[in-house]
Amino acid sequence: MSGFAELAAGGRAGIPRLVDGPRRLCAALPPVLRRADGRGEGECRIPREALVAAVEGQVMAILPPDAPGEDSAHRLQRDAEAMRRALALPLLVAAHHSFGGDDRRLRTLSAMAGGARASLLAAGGVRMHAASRRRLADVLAAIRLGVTVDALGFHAQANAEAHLKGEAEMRRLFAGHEEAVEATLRVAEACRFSLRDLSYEYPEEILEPGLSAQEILARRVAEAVRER
Amino acid sequence: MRRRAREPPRLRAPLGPANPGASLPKGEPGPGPRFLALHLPWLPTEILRLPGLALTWHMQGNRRLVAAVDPAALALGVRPGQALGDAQALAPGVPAHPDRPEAVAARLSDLALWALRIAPLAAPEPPDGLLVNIAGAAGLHGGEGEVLRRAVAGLARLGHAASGAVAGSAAAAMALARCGIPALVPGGGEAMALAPLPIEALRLEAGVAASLRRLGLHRIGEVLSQPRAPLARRFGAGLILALDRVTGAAPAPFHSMRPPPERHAALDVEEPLITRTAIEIAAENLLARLCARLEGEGRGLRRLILRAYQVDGGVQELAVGLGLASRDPRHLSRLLSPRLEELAPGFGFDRIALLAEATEPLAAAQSGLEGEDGRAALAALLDRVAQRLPAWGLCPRESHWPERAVARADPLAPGAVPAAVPAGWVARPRPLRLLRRPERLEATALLPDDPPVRILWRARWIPVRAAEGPERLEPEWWRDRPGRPVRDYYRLEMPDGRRLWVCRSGGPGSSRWYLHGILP
Repeated sequence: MSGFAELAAGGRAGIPRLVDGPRRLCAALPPVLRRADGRGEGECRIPREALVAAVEGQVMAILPPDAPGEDSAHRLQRDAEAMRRALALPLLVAAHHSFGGDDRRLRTLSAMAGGARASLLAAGGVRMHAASRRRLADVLAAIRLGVTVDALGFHAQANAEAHLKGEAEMRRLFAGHEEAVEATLRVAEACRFSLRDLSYEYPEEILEPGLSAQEILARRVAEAVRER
Repeated sequence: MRRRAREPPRLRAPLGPANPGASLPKGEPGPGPRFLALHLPWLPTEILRLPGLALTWHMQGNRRLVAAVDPAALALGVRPGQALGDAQALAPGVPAHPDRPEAVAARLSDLALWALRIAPLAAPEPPDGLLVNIAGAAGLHGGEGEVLRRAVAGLARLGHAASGAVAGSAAAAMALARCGIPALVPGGGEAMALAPLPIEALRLEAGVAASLRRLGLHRIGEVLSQPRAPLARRFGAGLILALDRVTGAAPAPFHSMRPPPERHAALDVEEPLITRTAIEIAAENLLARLCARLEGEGRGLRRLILRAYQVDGGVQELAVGLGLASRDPRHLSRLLSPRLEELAPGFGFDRIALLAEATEPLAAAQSGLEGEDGRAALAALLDRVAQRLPAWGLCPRESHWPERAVARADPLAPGAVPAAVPAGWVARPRPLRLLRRPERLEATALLPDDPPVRILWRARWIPVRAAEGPERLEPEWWRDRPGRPVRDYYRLEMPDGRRLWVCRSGGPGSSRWYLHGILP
């Protein structure tokens, strides 16, 4: 239970961050990953069922859509039901205060989480480490989308609030939903990581069936010599 | 696109009939540039409209000198350049008026517009001349001699004595007109026709004519017969260029007063039109003719100009622009007729011309069932509205900044309004209209970025029943001036049910509150 992946409502997996949890998650997923036509890491689409089946002992949080409706509430209920036994912590619903003038969203998400016996997770929706980096975030978004900054439209940051915030600030923003901040602290607590946890691991070799690595090498060299 | 007024190749190309040379009587010059020059020697005194003697004066240093005289004063010995006192001694009681060069120039421009009735390319030639390019137009008037006679007679009716000449180059025609020789010089014969004229007729730079006279060269022919190289060495390239332009060896640019219209229709009347009804009937008559011609050519109007020529020489113009090309006389006359009240007939109009300044290909369309042709009907409505008010369409734009959420667009330009509104464009509640000038408010809030609990609006403190926010918007750094403040928007519900969209400019803690709109 020492790691977590994010499960977005659309079924897109974030990159697993920590060592042990991701390793186990990946071990459970290989048939899926090989099928995916990975044109890049972010493009891997893992079917929802495969992910739900592979969450044994993980911590999972759902990224709800901007305007959560009936539909996403139902889906949340289904997912929470399917994963309840396997997860180390109850399913989390990531919520952030985006300064978008939508106070009701937090209440809606809280009610949704309560209905599905999940709990709220105070997230930051973070795009930059400090408010002064908004321009950099916009420039990077423009590069990612291949347009000029002028043509970013709604992909530009509306404000500079998507930066890392301290605990006191988060508690102020989540006033009335203190359990969300507590959940975040618990997850952070669970995510202990040290470089010492890493050690060198020899990768799995790609072998032809019925031969050892040495035999394959010898055969390929012999073929190459004949061609010369 | 407007055709450019200055287009030297066009001057050489025949206007009007395909081959005017074939329709001209024998002995007349063939195609090629043909210029009618008119010289108005007494213009500065004629614009005073005084019977009998008249002169104008101007100040030079602290002396009053005679600037211009009329023929009667000239006969008494008054000359331009004399001291005003001397002139008044020669002609006792002569009315003396201050010289007004700007009034002379304005009258000359008016006369150039008047001259557009002779041919579509005409220009004033300051200080006292008019030039008309009559290439191809002479055949319509019955020969160049007739053109010249009518032009001089027309100017005489307007109260201006004029002399004119026709030649293949503007400078030659102008020189002949200044000397009062009503010659019709065939193309190529300029050098011979000008030979006996004094060199002053060329209007050379100051000092050049005097230097030539010191050399014993008094007539244009004597200068033309000199070897060119020494002349150029002594007097510069300016003299050679002037000589080449006079003989037509070097082309001279000709700037017409107005660009030639693509199509035009004109109506001359014996009895001047004064009443509104008469002008309207004339305009409708012309519109029908113009539209019939445009239909034959498969073109539609984008810009229409009505030019009304006053009896006394003034010209008034009205322009009507269209959103979509059209040649429907009913639609055009509905656009034009409300504008007719802008005309001031004075003594009446003796000529009304309609000019199609910009046209576009317009295929004849099969008319559909009733109500199918919505676009053309909308275009017709917009044209009528746009005659009085600016008209535009709004199209959504992807921007977080409220003032930039929509952009003005030409209502009829294809593709101006995107088929679909960008995703997320109305995701957040916004007022239908932003206030043109946001109203300043006072507000009390408990914490720096809390919504206000009461506001002072129109001199009354009102408690806030419910509030939502903030929606924080930072200026678009790539477009805005630096230092533009952050805005926090709140939606407030007042006790009477009104919902306001207020904004705190300057971020948390600032006390600059504005009302930016009323929410629906």
